[in-house]
Amino acid sequence: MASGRGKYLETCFFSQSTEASKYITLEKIGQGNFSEVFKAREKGINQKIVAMKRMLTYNEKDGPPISVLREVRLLQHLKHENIVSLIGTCCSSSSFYLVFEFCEYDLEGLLKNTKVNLRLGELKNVLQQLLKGLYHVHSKKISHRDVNPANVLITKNGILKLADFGSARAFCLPEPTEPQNRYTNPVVTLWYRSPELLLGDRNYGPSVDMWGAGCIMAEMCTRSPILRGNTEQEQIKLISQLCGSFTPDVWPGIVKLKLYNEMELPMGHNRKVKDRLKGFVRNAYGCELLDKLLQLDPNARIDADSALKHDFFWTHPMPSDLSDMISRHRSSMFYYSAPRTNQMKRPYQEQIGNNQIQNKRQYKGYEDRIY
Amino acid sequence: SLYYSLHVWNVPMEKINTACPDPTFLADRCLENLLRAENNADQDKIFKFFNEQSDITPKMRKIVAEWMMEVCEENNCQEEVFLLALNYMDRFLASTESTLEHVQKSHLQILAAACLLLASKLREPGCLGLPADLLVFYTDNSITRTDLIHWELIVLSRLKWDISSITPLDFLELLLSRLPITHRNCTDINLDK
Repeated sequence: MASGRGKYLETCFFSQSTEASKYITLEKIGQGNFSEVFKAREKGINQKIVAMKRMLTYNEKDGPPISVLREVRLLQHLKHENIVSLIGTCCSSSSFYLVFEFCEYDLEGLLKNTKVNLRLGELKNVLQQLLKGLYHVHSKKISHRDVNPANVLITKNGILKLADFGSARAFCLPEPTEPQNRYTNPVVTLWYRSPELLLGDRNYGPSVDMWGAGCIMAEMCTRSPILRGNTEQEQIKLISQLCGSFTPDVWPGIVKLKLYNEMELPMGHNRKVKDRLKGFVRNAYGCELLDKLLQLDPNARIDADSALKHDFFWTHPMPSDLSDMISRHRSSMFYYSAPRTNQMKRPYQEQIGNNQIQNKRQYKGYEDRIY
Repeated sequence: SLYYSLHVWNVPMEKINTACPDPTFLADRCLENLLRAENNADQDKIFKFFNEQSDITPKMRKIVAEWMMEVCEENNCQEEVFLLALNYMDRFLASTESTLEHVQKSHLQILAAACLLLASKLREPGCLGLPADLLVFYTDNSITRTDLIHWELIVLSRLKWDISSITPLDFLELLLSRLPITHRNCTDINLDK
């Protein structure tokens, strides 16, 4: 009996869902709330370099949680040049891994590195690829729900890959007469979280990802995250100062949101998106697109399709290849492993990192509650 | 209602996210999509499987299916769980390509338990599936938890992670809404039609 069991596991299990020992982990390249990522090399003649995402939510006792099942399934559906491709899954006695193609850079690492210089054409290319990825995701009726620079990977050939679908879900947009959705809130890293999410909206859609794309676009110009709140309340304050006060005049649906009367909404701020960012964007079309992405009202925010058609991408300088920029930097660059030598205010960043670790404990099994 | 008989694992009613009834899902288009999505090829394969090998007989499948049903009933599982688990088991059995991969009868129960584990994760409220330890208990401890978790992964990879299968229950409301019934007790149903 025992030998029979072993034989079955050998012939079926280990040939299909590969064993983690097939790979040698080389270094840790990322850490999230629910997973950690390693660079690894396949043993044998292939020697292929891959990224292995170890799922911290994996529970030895009851097997992979529904969130992992959902992530794998979503990734199977999302095959696109600008979306990270899943090679397979593998496991060891206590861990479960998703195996991905390896990408040399992440956008957060590139932006934090002061040696990296992003020309306007290159910036356009990065944003265009990001929007193409988002367009594909949204066209499949899926919302990513965690768009931030750490989840935007770039290969050594200059191809952008949107990664981490651990928070993603399928969505449907109900007609006004139909019952509303009740999606999980909070989602999305605080700095990239859209106004409607901050006000407790549970009937949101793909426009939450477009807000994140707007934050990333601005960050590529300013080279640091533009809205760095420590709390939801502070985030609202910072957004108000940039995008103007949250009022029903600019955002008619706001009064229906759960936290509209609970959060303190600073009044009397004018919209200053273009004024404050034009010095960094230095392109009129760019300012206009950014203004459309950073709209408070999710219904007024531009969608991925229209954004791709925006004049910004079709005027001089045209989006240009990234390989030139990348060839100037030989080693791979992840924010996680990047040398902390640049002049960014470190303590602040570290603090956020610590918060995330605390959140991890606090939100144990959080992903299980994403509906 | 038909769907949301809530219960088990002490999940309070208000904590469970359930969708509101949506008449859009009763449209002809949805029925057509459902019929298209229901993979009849799998049904044929399972018959082929029973014809091709003799180790596992339809009678054994019946016995293990009844055991699965009992586990579901005792735990007040959602109705879909049993049907979904049975769908996984049939598809798994039918997917064996070489005789090496054929499931031996000593493995039938652990396969069934793994399918239940998976289906309950998918369909039980609050994403709380049946605990693996409980399933081990229902097999009279004839399997171990470690093996069960391994088997769950075997099932997943063999089914290519495609586990949101169509079950007969998915058709129920679509069909009921099309019947010419208006009276509560169905007194006006015409069986001759």
